[in-house]
Amino acid sequence: MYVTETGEQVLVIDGHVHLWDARPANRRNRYGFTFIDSFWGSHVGMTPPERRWEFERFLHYGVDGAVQDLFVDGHVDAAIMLPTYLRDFFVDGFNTVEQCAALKQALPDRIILDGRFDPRDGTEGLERLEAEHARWGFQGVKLYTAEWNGASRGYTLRDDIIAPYMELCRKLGIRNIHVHKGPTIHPLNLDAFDVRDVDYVATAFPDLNFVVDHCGMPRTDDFCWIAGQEPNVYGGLALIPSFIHARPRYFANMLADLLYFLGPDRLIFGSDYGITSPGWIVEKFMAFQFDDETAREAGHELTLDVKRKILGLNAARLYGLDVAALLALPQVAPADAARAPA
Amino acid sequence: MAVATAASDAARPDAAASRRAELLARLEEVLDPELDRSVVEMGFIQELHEAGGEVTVAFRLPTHWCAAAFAFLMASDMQAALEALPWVTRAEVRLLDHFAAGRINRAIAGRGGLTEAFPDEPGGDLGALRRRFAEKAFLGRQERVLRALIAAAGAEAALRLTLAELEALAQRETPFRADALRYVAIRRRLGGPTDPNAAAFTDLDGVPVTPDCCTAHLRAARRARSAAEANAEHCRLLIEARRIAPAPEDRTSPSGLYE
Repeated sequence: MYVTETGEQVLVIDGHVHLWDARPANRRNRYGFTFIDSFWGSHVGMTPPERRWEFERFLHYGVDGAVQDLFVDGHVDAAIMLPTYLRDFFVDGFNTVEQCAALKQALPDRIILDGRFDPRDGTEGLERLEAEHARWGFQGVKLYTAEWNGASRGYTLRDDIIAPYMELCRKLGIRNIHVHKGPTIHPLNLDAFDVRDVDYVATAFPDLNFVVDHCGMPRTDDFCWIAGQEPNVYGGLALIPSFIHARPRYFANMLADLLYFLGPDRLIFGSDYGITSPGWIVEKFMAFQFDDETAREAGHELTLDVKRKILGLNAARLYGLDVAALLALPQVAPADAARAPA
Repeated sequence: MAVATAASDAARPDAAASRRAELLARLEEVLDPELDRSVVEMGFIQELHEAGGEVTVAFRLPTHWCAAAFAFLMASDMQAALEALPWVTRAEVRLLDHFAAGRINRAIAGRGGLTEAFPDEPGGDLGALRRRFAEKAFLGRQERVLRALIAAAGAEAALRLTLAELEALAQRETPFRADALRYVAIRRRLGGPTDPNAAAFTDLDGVPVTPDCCTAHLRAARRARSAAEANAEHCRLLIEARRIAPAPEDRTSPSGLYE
């Protein structure tokens, strides 16, 4: 919870959180290093110098680190964990459901654990999703269309293999489909990081919500166009708010475009933790205002009401979270982290 | 950037400097298609050597995982731009620190295409990719100059300009001169007829922008500009990060399948 100078409580849901392991022992090959090295570049480039971590901590911050950064120092009331497997790069995976579950166990009332699937895994993948859902009760899943899988360098949401998975999500009550559309992994085939395939699947499954993570960056222009036409497409902001310290003007421009095309009800805050941490982002965002020209372009002022929606209320609505109950939870103390299973 | 020239030029430093300037001017013309910014301006060029007409360029992108298709396009464009100089007999272009560097460098050295670099994968249509980003660049460049002109003279006057009038305006000292020159250069390739009386400001189909549709058109163009600019800033942050706090290099893990 963030409390304004006038004592107003602002719910904060971090819609994009990881718990990863990029230590040398978990790297399958040099790609594991180059992958975390790309993340490290964003951490260094975007984080205020006094809040930067050591590289060692960046490789593995663990449950204790996450509890501290998100819930003690980060103003976060609840966090949505989005798994990323990358087994072609990391022996036990980079940030799997199992790894993320450790944080869920530490703070069950505050962690929303999303599942994942890879539609290229066929029937076996469907069975695994169903089994994992039985265990964790997912309300959302994360897809990584650019992920490598054996000889494949990615897939698109237009592929026929997608529909059976969407049908299963529908049946299981998994309503929120997060799709990574952003930088870092770039397959050769442009289609795998092109955002235009979201349009197709969002029209085919109008009862599901599609959260496009990173708003398609660096394709925010294409994303705005698609999302403007599809009411069930949401902008997962992660990475965009991280610009607020190092490049505030570009943050303002991107947010203005997103507000203009999607409005304030379809944008979900995310810190992309641990690439950047929510504490400083939330503080800077609460203090941030558009200049007159940017507000005109956006069609919205950055009022307290708009900030509340982006920071927490929109995600609470998607995931059916009880706002009053979240705000009433006892404060997390650093000691809670110490009690958590490793 | 390390720029070296042959020892024999020690006696004729002016000749070496002039050749180096020519090479750099050529590289200045090579753009990162996603950013619509020069590879030199972005700081991608790491080394430039020249001896007896043989040129070697090494370039590095902000991450190991920058899009391979764009990396290939830039490498191939650099090679072509340098070899277009009459005194350059051969240009060797090397991509550094990239997941597909080995494959791309071998294909470029052998004058091959993307298919030669990645024979086992569908590479997509590079021509279509190039066109799509050129169209975004057209809109982005147009938005900058058109917005400045509208602020200075109003929409009616700005949209009445012919291509010849805009070109004349771009020769004068104005705050938006650089933007105007950049737009005129791409307008000559895209946006319809280029006779002197053609409208300066058109959409990608060559239809003149009118005051009625101007707001919506500018909005769409601004979106393209804003995305490219933010992407370029992200690249600059990553390059700066590598300078101020590079990760300790991993020399123990086994190679990946592209190396």
